Amino acid sequence: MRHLAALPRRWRFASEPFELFLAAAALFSGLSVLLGTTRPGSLTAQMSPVILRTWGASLSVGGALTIASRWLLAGADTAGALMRALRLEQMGMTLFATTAGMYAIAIISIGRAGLAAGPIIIGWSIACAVRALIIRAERRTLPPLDPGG
Amino acid sequence: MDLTTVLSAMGGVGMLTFLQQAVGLYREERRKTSAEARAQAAAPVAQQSLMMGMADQATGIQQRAIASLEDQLEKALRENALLRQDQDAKERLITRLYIRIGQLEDKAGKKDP
Repeated sequence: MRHLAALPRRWRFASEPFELFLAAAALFSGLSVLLGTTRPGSLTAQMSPVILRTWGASLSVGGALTIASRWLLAGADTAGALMRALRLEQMGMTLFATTAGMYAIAIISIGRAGLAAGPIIIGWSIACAVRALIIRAERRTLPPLDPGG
Repeated sequence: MDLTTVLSAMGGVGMLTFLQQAVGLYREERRKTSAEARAQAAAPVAQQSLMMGMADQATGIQQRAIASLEDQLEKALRENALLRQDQDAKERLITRLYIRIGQLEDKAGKKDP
């Protein structure tokens, strides 16, 4: 987080572009599944409609939480605000890791056709899980909160 | 175990982790809010205690000043009493001297022709 302070305020929001734009994409994709606009074939084949909608909701909530956390991180000027933003980001990353992992398994399960997209989604899932672990380690290094912070 | 069960289990674990983190965030926010509320509630009491402490301190200074003045007054009165005793003693001595002078003059007058 130390590098954020060196950035101009307007760049802090997009200081992790992979995370931010993937979150925006996830929000869009998740909402489309949640609202029933689209039904990914690999997921529909393996999941019941209820679980599929839950998956869509989780993906969109993860996207929204990640975007919100980046916004809060950009404006965080106290330890308390930074802690809150990090917690939200960790929650978003947990949802991403789960939903992407499920999607990757479902894609790979369709056979060789899934080998093109599957590894990318698995990579995204692992990256999000590692990011969530890094945030957990990062939060532990922060000083305890003061009431006004 | 079929793939649907695996995906459901995976989703369940992710959801539980997410909920655990959400509860952690909620608890942290609540703890922070209650700490702020406690600090706000304690502020008037702390201010009152400070004022009482200052009042006690002022009373203590006043009491010490009064005690010092009492000591000085007592000392002055004691010195005054000693002076008065001295004065009385001097007056008594002078009186006795006058009496003695008178007696000597009377005696001398009787001896003169």
